[in-house]
Amino acid sequence: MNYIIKILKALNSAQAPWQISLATVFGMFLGFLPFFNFFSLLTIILVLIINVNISIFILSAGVFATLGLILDPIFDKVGYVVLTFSPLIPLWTKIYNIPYMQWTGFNNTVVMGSLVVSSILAFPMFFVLNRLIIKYREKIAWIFKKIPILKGLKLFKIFEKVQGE
Amino acid sequence: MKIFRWQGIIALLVLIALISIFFIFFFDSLLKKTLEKTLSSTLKRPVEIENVKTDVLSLKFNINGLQIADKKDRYKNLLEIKSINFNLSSQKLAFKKYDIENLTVEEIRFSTKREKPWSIKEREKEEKPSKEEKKIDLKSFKEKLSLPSAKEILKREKLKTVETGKYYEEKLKELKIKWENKYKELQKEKQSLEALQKQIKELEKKAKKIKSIDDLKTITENAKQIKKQINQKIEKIKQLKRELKQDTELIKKAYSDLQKAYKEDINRLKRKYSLSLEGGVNLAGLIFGDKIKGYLEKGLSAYKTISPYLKRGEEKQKEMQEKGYRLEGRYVKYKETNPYPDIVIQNGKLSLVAFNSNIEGSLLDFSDNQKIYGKPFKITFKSNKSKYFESFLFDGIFDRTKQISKDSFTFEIKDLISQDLEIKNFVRFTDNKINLNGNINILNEQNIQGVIKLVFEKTKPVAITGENTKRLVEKLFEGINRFYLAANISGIIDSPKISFKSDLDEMVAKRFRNLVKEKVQKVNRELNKELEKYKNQYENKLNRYKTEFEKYKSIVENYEGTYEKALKEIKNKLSKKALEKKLKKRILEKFRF
Repeated sequence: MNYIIKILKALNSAQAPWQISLATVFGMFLGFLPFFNFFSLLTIILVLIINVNISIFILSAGVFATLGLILDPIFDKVGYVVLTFSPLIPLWTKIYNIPYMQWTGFNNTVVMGSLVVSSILAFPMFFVLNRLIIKYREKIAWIFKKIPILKGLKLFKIFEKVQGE
Repeated sequence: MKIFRWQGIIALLVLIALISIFFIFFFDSLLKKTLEKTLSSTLKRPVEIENVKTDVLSLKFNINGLQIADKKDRYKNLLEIKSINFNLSSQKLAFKKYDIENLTVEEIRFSTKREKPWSIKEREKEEKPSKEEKKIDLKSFKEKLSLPSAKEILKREKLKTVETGKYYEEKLKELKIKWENKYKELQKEKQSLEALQKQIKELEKKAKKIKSIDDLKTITENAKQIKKQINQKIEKIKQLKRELKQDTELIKKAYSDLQKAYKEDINRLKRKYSLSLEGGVNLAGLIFGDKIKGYLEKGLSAYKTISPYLKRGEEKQKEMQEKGYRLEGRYVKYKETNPYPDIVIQNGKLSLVAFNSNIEGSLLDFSDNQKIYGKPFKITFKSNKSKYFESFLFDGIFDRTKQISKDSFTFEIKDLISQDLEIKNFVRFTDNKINLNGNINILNEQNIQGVIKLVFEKTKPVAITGENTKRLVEKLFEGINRFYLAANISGIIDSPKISFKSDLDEMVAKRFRNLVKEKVQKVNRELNKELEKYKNQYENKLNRYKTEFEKYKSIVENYEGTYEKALKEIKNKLSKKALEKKLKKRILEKFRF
């Protein structure tokens, strides 16, 4: 219930839609990537620096991490295909021979697979979510403010919580 | 709406600060725990580290008090190292390569006592020490030396001497009865002889008084009758004599058969109860076999532990092609601009504490991919004179630079003053001074070939058996103060075959053979004596029969002689011619008057 309240709170807040959408996308990156990794650290740094919704990021990371457990074999296969794709091998070889690049684990099949899948999903997800948030705010968010009957119901407390700033 | 948030930058700085604090305060203990866990799972035995000190900026590492526990004994360590110091090259670390230029390992000790037994939770993994102790099978020695006494042998064996003796005894008993009866008959003959002698005398008297032709006829006729009777008697006696001779022959045969049976018995029993001198003893193998096998197993176990790390780099590449790991993924390796193994220890300074001495060692060119590094891994331990040996040398080369790996190990310890070596309830070798050398080659990490030679330049064997076998063991080892033992190793490293050769075996076998020989001779002497007793017993009986038969023979011959004499007398005095002569003389005498 708390998760839903947090989502609704973010949706009804004064934050721009891109802040929520980007937080979700960053959450997806962190969730899909293996637990401790250079790219996950980079994601966290980006989240801290870029003004995105941290609650949504944490929620998104949790959801995508659970999903990532199931999708790991797919990431492994995708990553392997990408890392062994002949036209890309000179590029990978070049990166591989750059100092400290091996520590990033870019040559790991799950890391590469999750990065590729996340990157493919990132743009459509960002734009779709943006659109959905806008639509939500136009069509649904006013319900929590306008319908008095809801105030009398038990949902009133929830309504109070999700009102946002 | 701001795109960036300054609070985030502060949070990031705080995060970096926290990580730094973590490295400063907790990294060492975390690394210690990680190392303990990793090493325990890799070596499959409890591993403990006293402390780890790191300097992250200069990449210096210091591991103190490393203890690798002995799975078989909770109070013992398999290996203990006082300290390990090394620093990693940052240049190579940038490419995820662990390159150690100088490694120092201080005070490596094997089989040390632990201050505390290793953790109880590890107990389930504890390997129970084998209670089965290798013992010399003294029973086999005793069995080989155990001959029943001559009396026991004669009791359990069916003796031909006795059988023959009994057979002839029965036969001769029958004959004796027969001759006793015949003797009684002969007694009757005496009267008949006397009657005949009387008749002859009467006839002789008549012959002296012969007067006429009628007298001559009567006397001649009577003499003829008597002669006939005597002849019959002589014939009868002759028959008896022949019979007696025949029966006496049986005694002779009995003597010969008894002798033959006695000889047969002697030979058969000697053969049957001779002690086998075949099949040498494998004492050296029994005494030192387990120790050498134990050392070899430990050495091979260490070899098997080290071996995979020498080709880890090669295998990682292969693993990439195998099935992916869930959550972990696979690392795809690419061609390196400057190929270098993942792990390299260029130089190492080692110090080993063994035989109560400090042995300096060096390590050269350890790498997890020798094909890339191009140099074999070398490890050497060397020491000059110490309290316990004259010199110590160990050289190990792990060569994986070519397609077929070739690892070789040579070692030589001169004049090693070793502790007492003993086999429970058998023998203890004390005051030992040993020259030990060996060479072991392992091809392709599989095929092992080598020889380990121990020359006991000085030793003193002491029997430690029970009282009843002490003398035997003492005799077996009497005067042995120098011997050698060579162990030939072949086969594959998982189950190497070890064969032992030692002059100790030959020396003990020789002593054993002499003991056996002595024992056999003693039993043979007793056997001869006992069998001779049996033979003599029957021979004495035969002698008695022989005397009896000789008596019968003399009686029979006496009768024969008397009859023959009577017959002669008849022939001389009562023949027709003699009577005619007598009559003629009588008539002439008569007419002269």
